[in-house]
Amino acid sequence: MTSPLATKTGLRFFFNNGLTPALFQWLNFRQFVAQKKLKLPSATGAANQSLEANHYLNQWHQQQTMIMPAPWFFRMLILAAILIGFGTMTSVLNYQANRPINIWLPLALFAFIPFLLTLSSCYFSVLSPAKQHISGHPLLEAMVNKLNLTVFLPYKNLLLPWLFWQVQRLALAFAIAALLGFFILATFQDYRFAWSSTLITDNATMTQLMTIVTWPWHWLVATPSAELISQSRIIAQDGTFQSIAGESWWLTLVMAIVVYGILPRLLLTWFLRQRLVTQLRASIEHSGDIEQFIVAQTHQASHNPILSDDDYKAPITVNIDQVGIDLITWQQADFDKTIVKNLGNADWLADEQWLTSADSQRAKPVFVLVDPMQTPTGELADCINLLQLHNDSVDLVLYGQQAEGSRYHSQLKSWQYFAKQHDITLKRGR
Amino acid sequence: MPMPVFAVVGHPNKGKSSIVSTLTRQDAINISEISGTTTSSQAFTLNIDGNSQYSLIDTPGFQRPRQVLARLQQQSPNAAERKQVLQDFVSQQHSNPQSKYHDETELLTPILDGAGIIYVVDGSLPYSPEFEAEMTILQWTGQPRMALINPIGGEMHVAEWQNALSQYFNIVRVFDPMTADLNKQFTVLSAFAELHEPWRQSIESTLEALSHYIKRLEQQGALIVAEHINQMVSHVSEIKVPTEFVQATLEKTLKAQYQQHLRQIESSMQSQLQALYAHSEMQIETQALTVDYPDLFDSSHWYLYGLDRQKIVMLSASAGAAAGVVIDIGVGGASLMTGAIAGGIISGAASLFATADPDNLSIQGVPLAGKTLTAGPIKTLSFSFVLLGRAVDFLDTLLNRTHANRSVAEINDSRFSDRFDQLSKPEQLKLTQALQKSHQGLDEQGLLSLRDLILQLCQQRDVD
Repeated sequence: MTSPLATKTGLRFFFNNGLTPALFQWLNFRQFVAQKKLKLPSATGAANQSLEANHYLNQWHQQQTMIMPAPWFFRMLILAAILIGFGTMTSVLNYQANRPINIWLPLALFAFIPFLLTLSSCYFSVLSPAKQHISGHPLLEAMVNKLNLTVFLPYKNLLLPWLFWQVQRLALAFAIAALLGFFILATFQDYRFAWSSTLITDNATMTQLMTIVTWPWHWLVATPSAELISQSRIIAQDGTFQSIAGESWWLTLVMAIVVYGILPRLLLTWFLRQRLVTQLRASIEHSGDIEQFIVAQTHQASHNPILSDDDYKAPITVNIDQVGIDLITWQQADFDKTIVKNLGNADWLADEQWLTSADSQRAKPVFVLVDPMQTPTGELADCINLLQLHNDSVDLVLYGQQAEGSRYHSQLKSWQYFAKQHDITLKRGR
Repeated sequence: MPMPVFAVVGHPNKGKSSIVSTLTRQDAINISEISGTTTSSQAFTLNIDGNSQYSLIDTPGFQRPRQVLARLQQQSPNAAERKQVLQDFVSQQHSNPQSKYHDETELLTPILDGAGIIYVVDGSLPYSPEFEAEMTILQWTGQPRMALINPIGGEMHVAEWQNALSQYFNIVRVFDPMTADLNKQFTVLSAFAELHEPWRQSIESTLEALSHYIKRLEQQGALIVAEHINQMVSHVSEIKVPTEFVQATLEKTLKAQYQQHLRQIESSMQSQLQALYAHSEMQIETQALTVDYPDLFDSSHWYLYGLDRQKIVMLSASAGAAAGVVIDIGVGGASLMTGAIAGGIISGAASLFATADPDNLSIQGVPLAGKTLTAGPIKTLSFSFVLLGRAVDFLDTLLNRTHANRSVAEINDSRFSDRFDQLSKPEQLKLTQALQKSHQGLDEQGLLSLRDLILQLCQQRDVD
């Protein structure tokens, strides 16, 4: 089945300016729809025009005050992440002025810990059953509060993936800034790397360890050789170091940062973005909010309907068999009592002729009998008016077998309304 | 493609407004039990995704058809002249604001402007010749026309009406706008297509679009239910107990808050469903949701400085780990992050121990810690089923309700067990699992799966 028009229009409308604006426009829209006043003031009167969904969505957009996360907030955070990344790398490279840098430190800070954190983020944002909850994520909670996004918490299925994505972007900014910082600093300064360990006592273990660590890029950059590892070890002896230059380490460090610190983070960021896009599209397609909105804009009501006040007195009951009454029926050709005339079934001119003739001038009071199930019409009112011109007493009398039930009561109201409109006395016959 | 337009005409109070309401899916058309309250014509449009498909014009009933016919016949026009005579009559009445033929003018104007005719009669009352004046006038317009027999109070005289109407109308159908299901509505709409060749293509594409639209609305409605059930089941209300003696009062407050919140979510769901199905005017009669499940309430959680214990331990561990990192850096990384790990463990364990007895934590007699009473999430499966039962019944009511129906809808969950029993065993199991999971919050896939099961539940009733 092809995408329905409203969905296509909705997707085009919301995905007009990138993912974050799309998400928050959609969340604002969902919140607007969740309120009970869906109809836009400008939509009144436009309901019977054929207007596309886009037209209504644009009207909504113009009239709605959007709640969006301040763009400066994330720019500031990204700037802060860049500065921290750069600053950390600078500190690591320079904390021991003229001594070789222990390779473990930058490896830990920019490769191994980020890798572990990426795995942890991956678990919490993708696999953990708690990924639907904001509680337990102090950082996310703080961001939601700081950005005033608490109103969107009912839509956490969309809000949380966005927050996870944003956090990964910050972490990515940190890692890339650190790598760039390395290149910038290494361009202008000569850094020497070495390694040191209390627990790893022999070079062979270190060589083995490095073979494992560098395995992912061993086809691209050579693994530190046993000789290099041996030469670049620094051993504390009586407060002095036996320092051996180890320039080739920097390539290993860069590759470690890229492979462990940046690539997994980049992949996770990309995955979270794609997941958000998919979920946002699915939400737009499946939620029914656009349909609710359009239905409300095209909702029509009757103009100025006449409303009955229901303030009617019950008609008094009269005996139609009493002597001294003339009976005229309305559209009841087969009436089983003696009547003066049956009106309404023949040609109007024939009725009119009789009503204006001397035959309609009755000496006795006249009861115009109608079945309660009949419908009062203007023509009946005209007939009664003509009768009233020649007769002092003309009453409308409801007389029929079906005198109970809800339908009778609504018919009775119709007759009461009719009698009031035309100033006719209404009675009930027995 | 021209948009088909039909004028719905007939005697007063025969269900014209109801038919317009049902066939245009508009629930705010004034339907009065009192005759003669529609005094002007008004077009109502069936919209799908904002696009108008066709218009039905709700008109006043004939008030003086015999008089109008008598006036028209006075000019003794031949068949070719009748429409013009009728047009002259209507023009003449338009220029006379005091005309007593106001209602006839209102109903004839759209027909003379090109609208097709849908003539409505009451199939529960016998046919009588007075209707012939109305039918003759409509015949004089020369417009495509069909008749709908509305069995307002039963079908006793339907056959009689069919015989009479077939002499004046191309198509005659029986249609009850109050109870007509979608199939019956589609049958009548198909008849619209047969009525006038130039409109056929338009009506047929409307039928196809409407069919897809209804299907989509069903899915979206079920998803709204799924989302709100998920919200209700996973909702947690909390309240802090600063001192023991106010606990009983706060428990009541919490219960009221929690109940109120669930009711709000349920009310929001109902409003959204009503909006989706264009039943925003529908009145509902339902038993208010009551939360009377002791398992929902828990006083075992507690707080300190506004944080719960888990957060305090986590924060302490993080702070310890941060201190450990400084040591690691100090030794040039030679410690292999042992400092960070040890710092985290020691600090976390210390805060775990320190917060073991929160009631004793105070500064100069001011309590710093205490219990937090919580309500929810709903782990009691029977209560989840109650919520689902109410929601499904509401959805089903909307799915099976015509837009002409103005009665108060009664909602309850008593039919839920029947529906549930009719699901296959694997579906029952899936539904139970989905509800069990929803207290943790369902992801998109979980919601879609619950949506499909809700649709299945609604279809069980359709099978009945």
